[in-house]
This record gives sequence, structure tokens and C-alpha cells, in this order.
Amino acid sequence: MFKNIVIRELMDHLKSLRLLITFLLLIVLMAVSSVLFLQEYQQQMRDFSRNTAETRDINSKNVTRPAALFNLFSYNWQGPFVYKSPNRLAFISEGQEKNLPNSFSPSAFKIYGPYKKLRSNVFLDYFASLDWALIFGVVLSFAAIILVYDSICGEKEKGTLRLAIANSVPRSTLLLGKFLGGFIALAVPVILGTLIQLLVLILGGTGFQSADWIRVMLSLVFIFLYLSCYLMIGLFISSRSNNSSTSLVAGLLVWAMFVVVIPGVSGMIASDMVKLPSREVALENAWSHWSDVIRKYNQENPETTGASGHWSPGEPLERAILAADAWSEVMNDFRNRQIEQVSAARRVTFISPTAVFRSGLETMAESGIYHYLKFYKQVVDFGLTQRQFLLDHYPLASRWFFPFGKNPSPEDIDNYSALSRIKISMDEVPQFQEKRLSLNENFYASLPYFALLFMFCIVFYVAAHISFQKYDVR
Amino acid sequence: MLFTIAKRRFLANILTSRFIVAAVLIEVLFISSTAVLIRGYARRQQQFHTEVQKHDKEMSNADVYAQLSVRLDRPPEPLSIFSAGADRRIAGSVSVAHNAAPVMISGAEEDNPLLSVFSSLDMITIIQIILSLTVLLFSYNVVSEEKEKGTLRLVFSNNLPRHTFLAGNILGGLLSLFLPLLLGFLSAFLLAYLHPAVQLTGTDMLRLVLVILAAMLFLSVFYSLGVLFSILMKRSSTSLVFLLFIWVFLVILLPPGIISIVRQIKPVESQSAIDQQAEALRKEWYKRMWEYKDNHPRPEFIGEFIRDRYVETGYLPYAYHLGYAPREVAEWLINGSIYGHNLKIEYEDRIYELYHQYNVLLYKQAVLADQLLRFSPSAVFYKFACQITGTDASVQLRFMEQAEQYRQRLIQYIRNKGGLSSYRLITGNPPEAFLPVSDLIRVRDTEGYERVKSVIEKVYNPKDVKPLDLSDIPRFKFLRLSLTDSLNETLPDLIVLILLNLLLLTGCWITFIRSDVR
Repeated sequence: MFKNIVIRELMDHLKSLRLLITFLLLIVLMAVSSVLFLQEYQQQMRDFSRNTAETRDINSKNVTRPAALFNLFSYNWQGPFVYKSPNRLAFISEGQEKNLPNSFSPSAFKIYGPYKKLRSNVFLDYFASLDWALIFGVVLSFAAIILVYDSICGEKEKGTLRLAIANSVPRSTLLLGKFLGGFIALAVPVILGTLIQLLVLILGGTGFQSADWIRVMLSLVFIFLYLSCYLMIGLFISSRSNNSSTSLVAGLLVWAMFVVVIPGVSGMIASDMVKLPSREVALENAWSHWSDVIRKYNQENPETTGASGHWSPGEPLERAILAADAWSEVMNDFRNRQIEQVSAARRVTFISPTAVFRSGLETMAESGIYHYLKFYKQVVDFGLTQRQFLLDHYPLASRWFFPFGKNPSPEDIDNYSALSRIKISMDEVPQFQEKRLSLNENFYASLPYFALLFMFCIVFYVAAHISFQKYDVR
Repeated sequence: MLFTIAKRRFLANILTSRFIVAAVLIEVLFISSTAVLIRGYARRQQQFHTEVQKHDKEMSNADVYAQLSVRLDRPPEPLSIFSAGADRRIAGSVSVAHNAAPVMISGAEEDNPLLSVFSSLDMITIIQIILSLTVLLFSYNVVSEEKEKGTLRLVFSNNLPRHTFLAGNILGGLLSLFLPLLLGFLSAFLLAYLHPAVQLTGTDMLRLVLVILAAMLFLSVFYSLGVLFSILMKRSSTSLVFLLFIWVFLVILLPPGIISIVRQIKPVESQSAIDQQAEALRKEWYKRMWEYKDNHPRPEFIGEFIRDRYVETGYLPYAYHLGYAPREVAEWLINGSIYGHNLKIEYEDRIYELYHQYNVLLYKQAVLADQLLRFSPSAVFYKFACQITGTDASVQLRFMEQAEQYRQRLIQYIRNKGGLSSYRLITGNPPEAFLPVSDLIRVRDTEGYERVKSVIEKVYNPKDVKPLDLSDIPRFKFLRLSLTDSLNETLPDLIVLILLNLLLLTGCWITFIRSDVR
């Protein structure tokens, strides 16, 4: 009986105009988005190669100059830039990366940034890219509501529901049959659209690795969970309504709340939830801490007074490190609070299945805020690697300084001239190479979103089940 | 008869439960989003006033012209509480100095760039999405439902012209749907009007009236579209399916799709490429300073005779401040700094031009996107609302242009004060006030270093330094686009909305007079 119900539902959907339009819309959107993604990705790769080559050039020039260690790490006060690498899985979820910072300037002392150094355009409005998160997030959820809004109340209006229930069909079987019929009907265009897109991407030369295929498969699981969720919402609303027009209005308003309103309001609410000083104030505060440490150090070691406090040849490395750490403490805290603010905003959105779905896909594709967090952590680690490299290659004691303006001893003069003779090979200079997460890490990071989406499905299924059990079919 | 039909449609709409649900939701969304935006605006407004005072104080601390840097602040736009637009993400302040041009490209200095992943919900977005959807839900069956019920043939068995029936239904339907719009807007407006932080001028109110008129035009586009489909389709359900998919396409998918396409067909360089070109110019300036230094070698340099010397590097005669130095060093620094700062102005002018041209390219890309986005009525309405309320991103371009104009006035002001041609550029005392190095050495060797210190303190004591008199320095005030200019810019959008209405209404009329009412 269950099979018959599913087949009947499926056939009804297959004959419907709604599914035909959904089918066409999804196929066209997936094809267009794959072409756009290919061009965008290739452009991003070109920019990335040019930017990283520029960084390498700066470093290779710095190592050939006298006092190479100073040129590499502190002489210009700000190190060369490191860049977030383009994401070949951004067609799954671009995560608004074109509007997010993509660069830092780390050195052995401080990390400056984040910076936006991409082809973003402030004059273009912040619209999301045509990726799976948008196409499926909007069209699929919409199509699910449109497909099932009259599944129960519509049959009631036609009088076919009481006929179906008059047979020995449990209501739960009927509900599941309707769900499965709708699910299969919408899964077909999803799979076809995905296959078309993957084909275009493979032919376009996007070098997928084996782990990427698993990520794509897992993303499809996300999509199917998401689809189930909205089918359940549609069935729940349909089983709460007496006529299909009310069901449709309610369904569409719920859809608009989940897809548009909740993700929109959260950003505004979050800025109230986590207080953040202005960037200008944070920087002032950091420099004031920096000066305090310099002043204190100079008071304790009066003979070092007179130099810049940064780290030019002859200034004590110890002081530069202590001051930089004081600066970094404030700025790291500021950056962490930026992350905390956006994470709080994200958490607010998790009452919407669409927001959970988007975050899940972002985690799976390692894009958006999630990518930024991982990138930032690696930049911090890279700063520490540079620090270690500096300490390993600095030939003098970190407290040593040159007595500027006073009579230097022959030993001081020797030390000072030794600094300009430090030789460093470009091969040993630490290079920043962004590491992508392993499949396991990706999977574990996306588990909470799987669980949340699954929970939404269960909650709406139970709600639809209870409503349908109590539903007056006459 | 027209009014009877309009009244019937009006009542038929507002007495349904779905209308009440939709109207309550719209009212709640209008009020809650405006309340959140007012709070944000009040905070930004307060921050603006604090920053202006702080920046004024910082500026007045300068005791030499080389240190004179002015932070220019742009007040938040009061109408952003109705139309958030790009107001939050574009630059709120920028520093300028004779040797530092305003070059910010994006709102890179916004406090948390990560929040750009969220869109903001304002009155315009609610009208764009929720109200337009509601309009479709009330128009998809205006004619087809009557046909299905068989009441249409009854209506036309009387002596009723078809256009009167159509006009009455459109009029009544639109009036019923303007009701939640006007109620929501009035509630939001009252909320803003009663808040002490929000000061709306008469022009602001006129701008808001224009936004509401445009909203009515926008909603009537969707209403006419709904009526057109309800005439074309025999069944209401078919009409609804078509309309909903058209809505998703026009409102949700077309804007990002067009922007993605425009980014491909009219690409612009990445910001890092421009940064690299600017860096090359700065290096060129640096190189010329080294050449200058090669021709003007540094005199004998003894650190203990020097006070408060702020430089980029001690090897170059380019300083921002000098408290005391032996006369030879002071002259070397003053002359070098006069040369270096004037040269820097030339290079900063070129750097500004580089970034300005880049900004113009970005703006042209956005203009192309706007032209293509005219296919989407919702994008047209959004653009119109942002431009009329002064919250569109082009404000950033104007802010940067006005900041550069201010910088040129500042340079002229410093020149008039002799700040770019005399010792006043980096120090408060003429070089004659400083002792030659040989005298300082003699004093140190004969009378001790304490005596040198007192000699220096007689000329330069940080406690006695007087800041520059900046009472006549030019003041910066960000100029908003006048209402006439805003209207000129947005006129094409308004015309598009009117044209769409006329086209669709004509379409409705032609199809309806040719349709079979049975």
C-alpha cells in the first residue's frame, strides 16, 4: 500500500507544472552557475599566483640586502602579505568570500590585518553568489513548499482525503507516502542539475581530488536533508490548514521568514550582543600598550633609550618582542571579538533550517567565515614560526643593544657589524602555505550541522504527524 | 460602478484571514526592523560625535605642520533607518594630510568586516520581498477565480464594460494592499520621529514620501503581473505557480546572477594590483629621497644632542618633527624635509589619482550592473530607494572626492602659513636657535652634559611647546547629494517602474477584452 501511495504521489507531481518549472529552473541555474564559477575560479587562481609571487619577490629581495634578518622581519615594520587560497569547492558554497578579508601581513613580531585585497567592489551590492547554498537554499525549499502545500488540505477540499482514509491505510503511512513522493520528485532535478554542473566543471579543468568527491557526496546528503526538512514543513502547514490558499500563504510566509528574514536580522542583532570597540580605538589601545612596554623597558634599562622601539639594527630584540607581544595581545583580542561577534550572529540564525544548511555547506566546502577562521589560525601559527626562525638565526643575545650616541666598546662594534653580515638563504625562509582541512576534520566540523538539520526534520515530521493524526478529514 | 467593484475587491481582500496574517506580519517586521536600525543609528550617531571631538583634539595637538593630519568624519545617514543600503559598510572616516591622500577603496576599516556576510533587514527589503510576495498572493486569481466560480459570466451579463471591471478590481486590490504598506510605514516613521537621536528634516520627509510612492509603483507592477496571469491562465493554481516562480527568479535569483555575470564581462583589477602600483610610486619617492641624500650628506650626528626627532629612517633628511639638534643637522633636516614633503605631495597626488581611477572603474562596473538589473523591478526599486535616501554605495566615491578636495585646501592653507617652505614644517625654532655641533661638543667636554641639557632646554622644552594656531584651518563637512540631484540620478529608475506599470496594465486590458469570460 505504501508503495502505491508513493507512486501515486510521484505521478501526480511528475504531471504537475510546478515540478516542470522547478526542473527547468534548477537545470538552467546549475548550468549558468558552473560556467560563472569556472571563470571566477580561474581569475582567482591568477590573482592568487600573482600575489604570492609578489610576496616571494619581496622576501627574496630582502634576503639579499645587508642585515637580511631585519629586512625580512621588522625593518619595514610590516611584513609582506599572505593570502587566502581560492577554493575549488566554492561552487558548493562561496560563503560570501568575495566580501570577506583575504589577507594578513604577519611578521615575527605582529600580525597586521585583516585586509580585503581582492576583486570585490564596494559599489556592487552584497549579493550572494549563484552557488548550491543559494540555488538549493532558495529554489529547493521554495519548490518543496509549493509542491506539498495542498497535499493534505487540497485533498480534503477535493474530498479525496476521506476516501483514502476510508481504506485501511494508517495516517502515518499516508503522510510518509506523500513525503517520499515529493522527495523523489524533487531529488531527480537535484541529481540531474548536480551531474550537469560537475560535468561542466570537470571539462573546464577544475582539478578535483578524491576527497573532493566525498565532500560533494556529503554535500548532497545535506541537500537531501534540507529538502526533507522543507517537505515536512509544507506537510505540517498543510495538515494545520483547512484550505489550500491559507496553507500556501502560511507556507510562503514561513519560507520567507526562514530564508530571508531570520538570516537578515541576525547581523543587526549580533552587533548589540557582542560589543566591539572601533578599529581605531583598538589600534590606539594596542599602540599605547606597545609604548608602555617600551617606556618600562627603557626605565629598567636606561642605556637603551634613544632608539625607535621597533627593531632596527642595534636595538634590543627582547624589547621589540615584549612590546610586540603587548600590541598583539590587544589586537588579537580585537580580532577574536570580531570572530565572536559574527559567530554569535550565526548562532542566532540557527533557528532557521536554511541558515543551518548554509553553514553546513560552508563547513563542508571550507568557505566563508569558516575558511577565514582556519586561515587566521594558520596566519597566527605562521607568525610564531617566523618568530622561532628569527630567534634561531639571531646571532646575539636578545638583550644586546648598541649604545647609540655613546662610546661603543670594540665588542659592540663587532656585534653591530656582524648583524649586517647575517646571510640567509631564501630556501630556509618560512613560506606561508595555506593547508586545507583533511576530510576527517571537515566531516567532524560539519557533524553539528548534520545533527541540527536532522533534528529539524524530526521535529517537523513529528509536528506534521501529530497534526495529521488529529486532522479532521471531512 | 467602478467604485462599487473597487470597494467589493477591497473588502473581499481585507476580510480574509490570509490578509490579516500577512498584514500583522508586515507590521511586526516594519516595527521590529526599524527599532533595531534606530538603535544602531543612535549608536553610530553618538560614535560620530565622539570621534569628531576626539579628532579635533588630536589635530590641535600638532605643533609643526608636518604633523598636521586631519581625520574627516562622515555622519551616518538618518534615512538609513528606513533604507539601510550600503551606509553601514562604506567608510565613516578617513585621514588626510598634505602627505597622505585619501585612498580607501572599500570599507576596509569598518569595525568588523566579517559582518558583511549578513544582509540587513530594513523597510525596503521587507517591501521588496514580503510585500511583493503578498501582492502576488492576492492578485493571482483576481479574474481566474471568478471564471472558475462562474461569477464572471454573471457579471458581464449586466451592462458593465470590461475595462471598468478590470480597473475596479485593480484599484480595489491595490488600495487594500497599500493599507499594510502605509500602516507599517507610519508606525516605523512615528518610531523614528519620536526617538531623540533621529532628526529628520523637511527634505528627508520628502525623500521618504518619494520612496513610498516608488514602493506603490513597485507593488503595482507585481499586482498587474498577477492580474495579467490570472487573465491568461484558465486555472488559478496554474497562474499562481507561474507567478511564484517568476517572483523567485526576479527578486531572489536575478540580482546575484546579473552581478556574477557583470563581474565576468567587465572585470576590474584586484585591489592588490593597485596597492602594488601605489607601493611602486612610494618606492620611487623613496629613491628620489636617497638621491637627494647622496647630494646632501648627513652632517656629524651625535644622538645625545638631539631631541624629539621623528623620522622614517635616520639616514634620510625627511622628518615629521624635530625638537632640538645641532644646527648643521637641523638645517640638513629642515631643507631635506621641505624638499621631501613637497615631493611627497606630488607623489600622493598621483597615488590618489591611481585609486580614484580604480574607484571610477569599480563604479562603472556597478553602473553596468544597475543597467542590467533594470530587468528586475525589485532591483530597480531597491536602487531608487537607496539613491533617494542617500544610502547607496556611490556615497563612498563622493566622500573620497570631497576628502581629496579638502586635502588640497589643507595644502594651500599650510603653504599660506609658510608651513611647506620654512622651518615651521618640522620644528618650532629657526635653525639659528640651535648651536653648531662643535659648540655643543665644547660645552659637553668643558662644562659637562648637564650643561648641554640646560642649553637645549632653553631652546626646546617639551613642556613649553605651544601647538599650532589652527583657528582658521578649513573645516570639513560632508555634503549630501541635494534632492534635485538625487532625483536626476534616479529618474531612469522611476521611469522604468512607471513604464512597467503602463505595459502590464495595457497587457491586462488587451488580454482581458479578448478573453473568453465563460
